[in-house]
Amino acid sequence: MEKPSKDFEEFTQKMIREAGVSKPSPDFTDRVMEAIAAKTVHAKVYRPLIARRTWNLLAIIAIVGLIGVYFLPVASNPFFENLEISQKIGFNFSFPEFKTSKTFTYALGFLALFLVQIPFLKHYVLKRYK
Amino acid sequence: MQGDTRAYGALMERYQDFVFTIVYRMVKVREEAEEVSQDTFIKAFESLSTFRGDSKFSSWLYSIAYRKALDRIRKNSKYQTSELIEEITESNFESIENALQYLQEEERKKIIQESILKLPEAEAAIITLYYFEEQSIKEIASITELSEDNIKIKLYRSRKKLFTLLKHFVLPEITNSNGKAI
Repeated sequence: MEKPSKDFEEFTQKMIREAGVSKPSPDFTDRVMEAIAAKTVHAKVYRPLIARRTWNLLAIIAIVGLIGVYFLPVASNPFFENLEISQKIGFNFSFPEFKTSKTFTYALGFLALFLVQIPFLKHYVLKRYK
Repeated sequence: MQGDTRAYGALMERYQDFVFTIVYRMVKVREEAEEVSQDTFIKAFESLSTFRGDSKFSSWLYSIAYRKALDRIRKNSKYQTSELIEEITESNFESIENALQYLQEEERKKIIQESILKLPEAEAAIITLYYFEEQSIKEIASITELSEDNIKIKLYRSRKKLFTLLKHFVLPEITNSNGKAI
């Protein structure tokens, strides 16, 4: 490989210098800073409304409660007798009948179809403009 | 965090033109270059904590920009530049220099910029880093992850190609494509 002459080298440098830099559009900085700001907001660690410890406590209470209900004799327990709970809850309870007209069923069906379409359409559009 | 982003904004103002220039000369399309530069600055912001002070901040930033631009080029291969076959000998570069002198400053600048844009992506980046940003061969090697010898070869080739391109612009009557003098 031949070594470039000094003039050639200098001329290249002069030209590249003269070409200078190209500037991005004027709102470039703002756009990037906005994107960064959006990212830092997203980076915020979300704390759940009910902490894990509280969930555990709730689970323990629920399990202990269920086990307690299962094992504790209801009739002989003076606590329940005082409440007269066994008389209050009778099993003469029945679900109300749920009647729907044909029109309502169709309407519901179409609504369901419409809701199911949304993810498919969204996927399709995103794929097209990718 | 607020202070960090403000400080980063100042840092960005300082480097954005050059990062954009390098990326633009590589991807060749302004809109794409803006996107890639934006990605570069976001990526740099996110990984600021991993920046070890063992290299210059500018070199670190340019290496991110270089990699991002290459990724983009690989993604859409349609922007690949064509290789130039014809090369110029150094002896007639003076005629080009003379011809350039007669042009208006703005026009001259435009012609040079367009010629650089026509260079293959890596060479366009390397020649800009070397001659404009005055990065050393060693620094360019670390930015591009190429060997120093490879950089030297690429510099040599890009110089020649640049002159060939300039010749096409300023001395069209003596190129091989039309054969005869007008």
